[in-house]
Amino acid sequence: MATIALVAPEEERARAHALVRALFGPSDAAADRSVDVLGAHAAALAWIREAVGSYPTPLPIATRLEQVAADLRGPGDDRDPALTLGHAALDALTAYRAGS
Amino acid sequence: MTGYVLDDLALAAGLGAASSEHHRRELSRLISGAIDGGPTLDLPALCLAEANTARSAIGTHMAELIAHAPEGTIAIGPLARTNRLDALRDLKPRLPWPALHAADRAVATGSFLVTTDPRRYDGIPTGIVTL
Repeated sequence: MATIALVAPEEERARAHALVRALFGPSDAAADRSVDVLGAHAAALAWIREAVGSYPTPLPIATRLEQVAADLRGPGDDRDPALTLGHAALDALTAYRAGS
Repeated sequence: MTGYVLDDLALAAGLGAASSEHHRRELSRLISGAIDGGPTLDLPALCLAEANTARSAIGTHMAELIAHAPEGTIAIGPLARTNRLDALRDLKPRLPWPALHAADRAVATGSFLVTTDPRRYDGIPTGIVTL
């Protein structure tokens, strides 16, 4: 009878990480920062969606958040991404409502 | 958060022949995060096919990766005729098929669409973030 070799989940996970390193190389501080900003950007968009009630994100708000996210990725910008994008979302929403 | 859909531009930026080291490392972090229980990743099949034309064997590498990653963390998304797809085509008739597929997957799953060109998706009812 044929047997199925079961591999422990941790071993599979380690293999997956080894494949990622082989294909892409390891992450670094700049990439970690970019992905943190990406996550904070997504959270800010989700908050806007809750506040506005639907997608798409109003264009002035979307472009403002993209600009702030780009600034946060710049060298020397060590502001907290979640806090900064959260404030930017609130400001952009306030401006959008005042103008519409 | 549900996860991210990577469009053809994001995949090519990190995996294509002319990919940048920074974008490659960003993808490394996103995929590692998914493996470790972070936001899931959806790779629309047409986006992967498009990236595969820029650098052959990408599809094979990603299949190998999916086969070792925990179930449900990284997946290749299908394309099917739905009312949603028809509506997106009507909304953005000039959007190339890989981008339309990415938009369809993002709307269908409630995931955020990751791209290097957010203006491409103006008007699409989903969250768009920039790689």
